[in-house]
Amino acid sequence: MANETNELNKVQPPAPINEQREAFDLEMLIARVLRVGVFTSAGLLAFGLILYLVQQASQAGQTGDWHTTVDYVGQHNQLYMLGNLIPALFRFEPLAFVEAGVILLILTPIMRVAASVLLFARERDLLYVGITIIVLAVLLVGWFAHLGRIKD
Amino acid sequence: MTLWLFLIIVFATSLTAGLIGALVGIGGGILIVPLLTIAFGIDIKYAVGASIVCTIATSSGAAVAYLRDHIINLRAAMFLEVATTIGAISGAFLTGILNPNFLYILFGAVMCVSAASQVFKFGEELPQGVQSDALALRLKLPSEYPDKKLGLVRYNVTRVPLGFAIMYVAGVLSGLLGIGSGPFKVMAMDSAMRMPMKVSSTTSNFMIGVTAAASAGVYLGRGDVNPLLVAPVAVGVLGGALLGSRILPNMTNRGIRKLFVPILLLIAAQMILKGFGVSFFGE
Repeated sequence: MANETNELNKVQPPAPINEQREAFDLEMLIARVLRVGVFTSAGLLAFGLILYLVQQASQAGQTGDWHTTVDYVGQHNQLYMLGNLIPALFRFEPLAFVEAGVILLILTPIMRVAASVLLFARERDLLYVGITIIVLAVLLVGWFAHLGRIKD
Repeated sequence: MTLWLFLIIVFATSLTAGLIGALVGIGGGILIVPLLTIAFGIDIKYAVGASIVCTIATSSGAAVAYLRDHIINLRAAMFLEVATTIGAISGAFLTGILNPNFLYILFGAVMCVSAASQVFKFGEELPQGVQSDALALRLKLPSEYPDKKLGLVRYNVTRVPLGFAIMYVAGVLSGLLGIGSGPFKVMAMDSAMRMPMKVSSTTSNFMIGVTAAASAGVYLGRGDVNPLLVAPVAVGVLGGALLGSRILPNMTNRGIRKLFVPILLLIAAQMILKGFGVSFFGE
């Protein structure tokens, strides 16, 4: 085992300390941004769900069984477009909070890739700036292709 | 059963799915989809929508801690993500050309073989005698991660072209069949590129969210994301993934592999059954 480690060290000299520190700090920054996104999303989702349950409990005649309720919500769920999502949040519509939470959650991995571009740029690692931009571009192309499909 | 009880069961299962997913680097759809469709008779499209959100939640929930602990190999993640995302797009084009049932059986069998070969590595804490290949060095893939028991572990990376090819296939499968590519990502990094198990599972975990995010828009736009299902699933999975990401550093690589193999077999069994027409998986 000890020999093994020595051999590895020979193959691959350790990176200079400064370089490592800088990379680590940026990873921490990505982690922190990600954490804010994840917790905000979880908060929106939980708040929306609780708000829905409270409103449902206060409505008379809405005491159907759970399966009917789940199907009903699925079939009648109108997707808020960005323009009317924010007003719906101010009207305290429960499912608007859930949708905002879902959108934020979907954005977190994309934010992660975008932040990684910055990370590699700070390290002046042009090869990986390029690779990460390719990933980001493919992601965006995928999204626009999907959006095109939604229209028809 | 009341709505409350239903939500609590979904939440508890999601917590478990997030926990396991965070440890072995897969999205938790394997647990969520059968629960919703078989146990609760929920429409498969809502179950698949919930599964996509579940994968993203597992990935983002755990990535916070894994980035902070510097376990993820970010370069490997980005380089291999190129293969997966391009694979996913070409997979969408192949729809209708290749027979899905044949693919389910083929890749289910591949996973069984892989699981069997994993058994021989049960005693291995770290890959031994790995020499980085030229491409790995050129791409700066060899790295290090802090291990609570072993200290700072430096590791080499080999057979990069093979790993890249498996990642491409993983992407094709997720684009073509709509299944998660987590198990194939772990296998590419662990078995082909011989990276340590913790690095493989956490890096896969980081990547699955990115792959799922690429196709999440279409599910949202199509109305497959049922808010009443997705809310308890996402909150539960996030909680489970946060918990899992706290547990992983205290586990050994051996321990994670022992958890990964049965799950691999479970997924393989689901795929083979689906190939033969027994469906509880999606689409």
